[in-house]
Amino acid sequence: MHRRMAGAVDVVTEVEVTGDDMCLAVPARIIELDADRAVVDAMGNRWKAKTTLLPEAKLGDLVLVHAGFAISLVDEEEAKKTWELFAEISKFDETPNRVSG
Amino acid sequence: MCGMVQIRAKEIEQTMTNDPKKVLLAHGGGGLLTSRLIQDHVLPALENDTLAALGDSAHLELDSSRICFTTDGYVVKPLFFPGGDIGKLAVCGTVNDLAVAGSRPVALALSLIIEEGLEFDVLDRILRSIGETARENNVSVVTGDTKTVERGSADAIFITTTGVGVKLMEANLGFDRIEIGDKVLINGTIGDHGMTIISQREGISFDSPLESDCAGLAGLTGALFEKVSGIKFMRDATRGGLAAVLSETAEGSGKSVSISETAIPVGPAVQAAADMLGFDVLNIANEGKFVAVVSADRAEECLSICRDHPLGTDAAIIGEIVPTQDAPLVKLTTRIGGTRIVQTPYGRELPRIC
Amino acid sequence: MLDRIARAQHVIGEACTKLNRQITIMEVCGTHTVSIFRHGIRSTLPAGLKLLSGPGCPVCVTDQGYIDVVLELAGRDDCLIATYGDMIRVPGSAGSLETRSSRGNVRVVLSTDDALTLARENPDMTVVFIAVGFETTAPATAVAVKEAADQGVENFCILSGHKLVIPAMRALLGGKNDRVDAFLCPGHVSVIIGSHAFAEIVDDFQRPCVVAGFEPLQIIESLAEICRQLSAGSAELKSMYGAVVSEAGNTAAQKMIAECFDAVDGCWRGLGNIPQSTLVLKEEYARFDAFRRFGVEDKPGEESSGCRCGEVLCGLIEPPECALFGTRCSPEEPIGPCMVSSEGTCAAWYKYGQRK
Repeated sequence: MHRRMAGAVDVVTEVEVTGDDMCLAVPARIIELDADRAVVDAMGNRWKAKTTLLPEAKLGDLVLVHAGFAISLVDEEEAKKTWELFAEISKFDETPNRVSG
Repeated sequence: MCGMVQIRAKEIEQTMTNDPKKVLLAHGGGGLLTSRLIQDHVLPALENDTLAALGDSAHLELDSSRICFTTDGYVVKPLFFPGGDIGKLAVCGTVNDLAVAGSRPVALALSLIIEEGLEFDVLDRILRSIGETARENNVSVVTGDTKTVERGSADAIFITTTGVGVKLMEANLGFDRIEIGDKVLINGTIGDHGMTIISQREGISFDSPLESDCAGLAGLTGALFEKVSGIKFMRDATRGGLAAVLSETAEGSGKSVSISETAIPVGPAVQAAADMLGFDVLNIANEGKFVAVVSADRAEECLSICRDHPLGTDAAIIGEIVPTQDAPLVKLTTRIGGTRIVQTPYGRELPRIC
Repeated sequence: MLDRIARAQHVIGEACTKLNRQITIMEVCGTHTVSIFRHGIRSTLPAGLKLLSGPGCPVCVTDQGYIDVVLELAGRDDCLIATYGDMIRVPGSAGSLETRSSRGNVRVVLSTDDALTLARENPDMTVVFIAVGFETTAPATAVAVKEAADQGVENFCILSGHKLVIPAMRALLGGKNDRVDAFLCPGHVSVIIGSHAFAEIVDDFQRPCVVAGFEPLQIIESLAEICRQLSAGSAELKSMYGAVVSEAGNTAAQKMIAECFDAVDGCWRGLGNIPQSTLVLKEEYARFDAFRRFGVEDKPGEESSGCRCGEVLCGLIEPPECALFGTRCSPEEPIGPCMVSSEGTCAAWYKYGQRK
């Protein structure tokens, strides 16, 4: 673990910085979009993502984000049928941030 | 060599006449500059008579010979984060170690190791935070030390706090007190501190409503000990998260712990951030949470005391102590009714989280 | 949700009883492996249903030779290694990126875009992106290569270890392995390649293939669908992840892969050589290929003695059957990739508590 040294490259190895899960993808809503550079929102957390692989994505769409790229639109009706997370997302959209469980 | 000496002399000369904006190596030298550092920056922030006496040692009069004593180092990066900073952390962390040991925190010693070049603005913010947090938690920083090191030898500032507390008469804690049927309780949501730090790290940084839960728990634990006699064991859930504490509890007591996933409080934003990055919230650090093992008949009472307190509004009973088969384990019943084991995290947790 | 799970469990139970033999379902996605363990799904299934973890962890099937090349490049003064987190602890023949990273030239990135940015910010170094993963991650690599080419970021290159899932499934079934009754197909690979891609497995091998999401309800209902088919004696392709998976998949992503990569024969740990299973950069992007740029070769590595990762990957043994599991090989001191990667079968077994 190294810190930034003046003039040098910021060299950091943070082993557990990611949970290192290859297939990890989460649904998030596009809240900003400029060409293929987007900002997506998942429960209030906002991340940068690119829509290069999903040219049809629009502002407001719910997308599946993987390794910094939106890879699919999410069909919200379908999702609600099997994706528990969606119950959370709809609750969150409506109410202030609360505890679950 | 000559050139270096000249530069240092010039720096010192400048500081004699102007206020420096940054900490110099000479501020750790024990001479006039150190004195200035203490008088102009440390004392005003920490404001108490014992410290102001500036003795080599602080004189304390405690009304008991049952003392709790603890120390911790703080190297968190970044220094300032939503919900706190390294100063607040340094006070709360040590206060909490004393609190969960069943004591009333009384006094802290503060050791600062400052990297040459740290801006005084930053140092002042940290010192003020230490002072405020200490006052809020009814402890005094009664003695301390400052050293400075060359650029590159420390990352901005490292803080160590050592704390002393008076054992509460009512507190009787230990692994050996834990019995089958006891309930396991936590005072609120997990993963907030760790996920907040991660959200601030360069290379990851995402905008987030997340905030560290950094807080001093002595008020809440004190109330619990005062009102409830069946508290068997308590530990604060810092590095390694809830998983680490529960594993220690199982191992130390020789009894297994059974918890329910749906009972564990987790904030939605924390869960979403953890999902995005592939973390298990059970392993993520907290700085304002404790786990308590209490006898079954007093569990509801503990729960309501917690919920009446600002630091326990989301408290929950998350499980209980159960008999062991081969080896003591932490068993989790998942939200679909399946079961799995919770392991002690390997120790390769996020670096510099506290 | 619990009542839906109960219904699915009922279907599974009935199928097991009716068929009166062991049913073996293989999942080929490391994320499924982890999810199954994390939610304790095995504990909810009847004894007659066995879930096997197949070669679904891209890091696990990466041959040791590739890892040795990564370490060789990490040892160079002019290289910055950019990688997803999973590669950091994988052991090669002499250490891992983690142990070598005290040199300070390894950077964990969350996206290939970050790797490209790293290259722009460090013009004096060559950034080597460790491109491991199945079809889910390959398009992101392709985007980075194309942008590097379009924008003249010449100090960027990739070490391609991308692998393809369908050839591996074919190799598994064609070879020594007739244990597998059906496949739980990877949800996010399917987002890219489309659910229809698995039709050839159904047609050529008569095995049910069900594309599943990663939540416990999604997984259990997919297992129930497989059991329903087996019980009815049929073999069909079905997607239970319609919210994000279409039959055709993400055509923009597929196009991106096709523009930048060719599929060639490649060596998979445990499965040996599989035809047309590994991606290599096309000639026009050769300068972004770290293998060619640095003149290094991926020589098939030698297994550590006693390491049975290959058999674990094929579903031939379960982790506890390997003598090293939990003894000399543990997450603290992993020997093979199956223990290092958090998606690895052995790591998942160990972490979620199944020592026997």
